[in-house]
Amino acid sequence: MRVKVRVFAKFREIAGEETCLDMKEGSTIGGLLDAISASHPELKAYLFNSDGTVGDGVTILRNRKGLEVPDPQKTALEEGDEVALLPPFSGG
Amino acid sequence: MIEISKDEFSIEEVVAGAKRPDAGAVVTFLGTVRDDGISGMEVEAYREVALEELEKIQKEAMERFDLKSVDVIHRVGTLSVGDEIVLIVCTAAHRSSAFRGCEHVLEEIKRRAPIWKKEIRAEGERWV
Repeated sequence: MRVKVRVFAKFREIAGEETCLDMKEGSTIGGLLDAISASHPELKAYLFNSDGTVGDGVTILRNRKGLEVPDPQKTALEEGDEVALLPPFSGG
Repeated sequence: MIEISKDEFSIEEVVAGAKRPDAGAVVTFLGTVRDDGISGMEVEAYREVALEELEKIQKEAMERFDLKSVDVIHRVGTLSVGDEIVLIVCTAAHRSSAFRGCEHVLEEIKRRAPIWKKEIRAEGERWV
């Protein structure tokens, strides 16, 4: 299945503009984070804490909404999903 | 009015549009680019989501602080020292609600809106 990935600010500068990833059926957002980290090792340090949890201040949106379950490993992806990876906000 | 814009705005026009007979207080917050040794700033937003979040913040603040109106304009793009970054205008029957509501809106924007600032310095750039 094909999933669109959008990244912003620092993450965009590391990983480039929006991209599409082909994921296996049954993949989760956790799997997507692993795939992106493999392609962009510099991003991994921001996406994950040393204990493997999602990095402090990082927001993950699926189809523009926050994850219903905080653990990305438990959030299944579907064909056509848009996943956004957002570094800590600094507006205002 | 909720806007994310590359363009400059007129505070006077926004304030004039916000004034209303049942509001005895108009509180304005204007955030500007501070000279911390930077030459400029870039502001980026996840526009669709940021607009949705700003609208939620507006609605919540109006209910919680009994505000008559909340206007927010957040700039994006390349800004120079002294340029406006964000304008918040809150009206209420009385000053206390307008002050508290305006501060609340600003703090919630900082906490919840997917917007990012990058400082531009002679020695390099840095996301803040």
